[in-house]
Amino acid sequence: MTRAAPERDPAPDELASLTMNERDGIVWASLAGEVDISNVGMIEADLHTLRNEALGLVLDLRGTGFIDSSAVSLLHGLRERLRRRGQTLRIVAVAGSAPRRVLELTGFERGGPLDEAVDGAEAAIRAAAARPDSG
Amino acid sequence: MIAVEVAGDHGAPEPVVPAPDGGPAAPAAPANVLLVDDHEENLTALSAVLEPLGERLVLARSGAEALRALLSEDFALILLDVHMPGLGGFETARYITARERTRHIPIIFLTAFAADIDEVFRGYEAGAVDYVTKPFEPEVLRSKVAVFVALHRERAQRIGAVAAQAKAEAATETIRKLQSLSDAALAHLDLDELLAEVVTRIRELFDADTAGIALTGPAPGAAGAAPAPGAGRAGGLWLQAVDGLEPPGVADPLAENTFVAAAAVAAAPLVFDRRATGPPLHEALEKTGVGWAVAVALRTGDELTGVLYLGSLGAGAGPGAADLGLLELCAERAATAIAHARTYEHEHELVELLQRSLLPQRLPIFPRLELAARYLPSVEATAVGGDWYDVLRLADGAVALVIGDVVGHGVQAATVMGELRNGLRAYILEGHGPAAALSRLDALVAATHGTRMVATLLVMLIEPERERLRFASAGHLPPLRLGGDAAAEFLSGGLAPPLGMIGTAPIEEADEPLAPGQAILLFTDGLIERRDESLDRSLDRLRRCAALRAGSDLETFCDQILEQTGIDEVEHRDDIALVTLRLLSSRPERLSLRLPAEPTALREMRRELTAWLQTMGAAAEVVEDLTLACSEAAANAVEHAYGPGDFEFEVEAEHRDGTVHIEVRDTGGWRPARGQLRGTGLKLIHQLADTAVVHRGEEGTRVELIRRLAAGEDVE
Repeated sequence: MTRAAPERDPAPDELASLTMNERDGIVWASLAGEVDISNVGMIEADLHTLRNEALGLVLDLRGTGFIDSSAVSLLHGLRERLRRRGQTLRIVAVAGSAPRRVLELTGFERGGPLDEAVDGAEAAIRAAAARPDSG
Repeated sequence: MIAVEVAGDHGAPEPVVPAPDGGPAAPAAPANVLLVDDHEENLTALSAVLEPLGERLVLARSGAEALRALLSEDFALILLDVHMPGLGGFETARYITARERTRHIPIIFLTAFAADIDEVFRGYEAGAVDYVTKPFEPEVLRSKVAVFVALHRERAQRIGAVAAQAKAEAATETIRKLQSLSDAALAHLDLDELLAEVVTRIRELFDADTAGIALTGPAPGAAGAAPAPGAGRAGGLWLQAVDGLEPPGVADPLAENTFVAAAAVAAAPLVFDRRATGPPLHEALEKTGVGWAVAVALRTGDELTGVLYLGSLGAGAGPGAADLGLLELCAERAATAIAHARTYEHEHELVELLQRSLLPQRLPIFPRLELAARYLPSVEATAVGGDWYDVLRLADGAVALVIGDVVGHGVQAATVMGELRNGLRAYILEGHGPAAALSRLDALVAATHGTRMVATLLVMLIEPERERLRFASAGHLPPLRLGGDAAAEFLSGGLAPPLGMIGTAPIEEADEPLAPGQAILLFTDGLIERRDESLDRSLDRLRRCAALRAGSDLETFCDQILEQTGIDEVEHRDDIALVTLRLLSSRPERLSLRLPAEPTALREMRRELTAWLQTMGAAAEVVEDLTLACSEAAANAVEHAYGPGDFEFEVEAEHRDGTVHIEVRDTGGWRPARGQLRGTGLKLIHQLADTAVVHRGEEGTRVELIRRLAAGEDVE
């Protein structure tokens, strides 16, 4: 299931907003705002709407100002789930940004490299999908 | 199953077991019945329906004509049209009940409109004994008129005979008591009070030993409530009020089949006489000692509301025909009052809910400002709604305070309040000052509600940096400024007409200093209004009272003001709203936050801490790291609270010589064993601070963090 909403900043009362679009088998999810225990559940539910047929998910954290350890747990779980389904999760987080720092401190990138840009993320997913052992 | 005898099919009440004195009245001189209606065809129709009764019908074509007829003749009954040009039905009734000579004459209102419950109630308040909507059932109307004529005859026949004087008075008393079932005294009771009152009055009216009402709908929450006899068999009736003895049959194994259930589906009152009923019910009645019992369904329109029953001990005579007619009238009356009370209770709940949803759930936290606010809904259900306060943070660091009072009460007032609140928020957030915001809101209001007084309202902008405040008031009570030195003064100026009436009049804006330590109190008139006291006097009393208590923290201050101004929980008749703010002296080297233990408070904590760290000159990555570390520590506190509740956590931060010391604490109410930091969160905290210490104690968890403000010093 996809949600085609324009990318936007969260409304004043919202902590974060997640925009999801699917293009050529890849779901692009852009997360703006902050993620903590107050909204991690909602974000998780939205991310889990990913179709079985999708090749993978690019989660763009370039507009994300803050994530905490609960968000890191979410990403661990999401990566595991996608891997089991033969799908690939790629996370775009620019070096020096707050989310990048949290992912590094918690060792998240040891389970798979982080991307600096969306192009790299897309290429990585297509490459993984093309490998015979995937899917 | 017990065979239940149903009296009559439809139409005129007729007892199954006629009491000895219950037969039709002996032929007597015709009684006068006054028919008042401005439509000739209605008078003709009424005459046709009532002619068979053989009474003398007097026709009046207006309220005034009716009053003239009443001057010269005595009447047994008046049938009065509600909607008449000139002197209307309600007004005419007021004249009739105001006159000593005509006060005792029962009035039945006639209306062409489908039963509007409020109108019916208004009719009863105006002194009606009954209410009939057109087109009326000829049979029903005829039997109603017959009951009142019988009562009148009883009264008239006995007057003059000394021995029977008491009984004549009793008949008058009966009518009076019947009126007491619909009088204004019942108008503002809540449902429980109303039911208790109705059963008592009805029991007295019929001189019974027990009376009760069982209602449809959900089981009552009140302690001690028992399921009605017959509950479940008649659409789930629950016994709600009993006066006198335990209801017959409650303790009986046959209870589920008793008369209450039967009455619920019967068209007329059911009478049970021990002497005349068959074996199972006979035994049931015997066991409880009840001689006779009557039960009648309460209906609003076609809908069953409940069942009203009466019972009497011993083998005395059961109710007669007139009694049953009267009981039906009582039942109609009670059903109307109950429907009204239910509507009214529902509305009350709705208004309070709406009202609460429009007020800030929790006040925002601002650097250098202390805030407290209160909203007390009126103790009178009809007076709830329309008072509000609001607190807004503006982009430039200013804070807007709003207090307002919408004209009227109830759902409508609460709805208007929502409109005003949102409109005003929009204007303020767009950057309009108090005067401009008011003038725009006034235009908005005039466009929707026309030019009339809609609300009083005060908008104030506090600018902590300038240590000044600006405000404009649309006819609202003045703000009170409290000094740290026990001085208090009302701020004048900035006064415009009430909202809805400002129009194009220019609005003056007051600009006043607000020194550190000084506080502002905004309030609605519910706080000060006293009967028999002038406004000036009330304001002065509040001023003196507030001045004495200005030293307290604002939460305590609010409590004290409410207590000391004589606001009695039991007494305040109007909504009360107050909001108060104090400018704290700036101590930039310290930050102190106390927040509710809710996930949504974390964001606020991060904002405050980030802003403070930036002011302290912390490097960007230090700000990021410490904010994350604190957020993790606070999240732990929040997640391990005992479920939802009024718990808080505190963040204290202090800057000493280039180093920041932060402490995050749970404040009481925590389960000590659960206040544990684990896994990723704990690891992060240790990575993000130069020094991190987690203290776990009986009172909860305390996390201490120390980090240098300069970049590049953190450990990894």
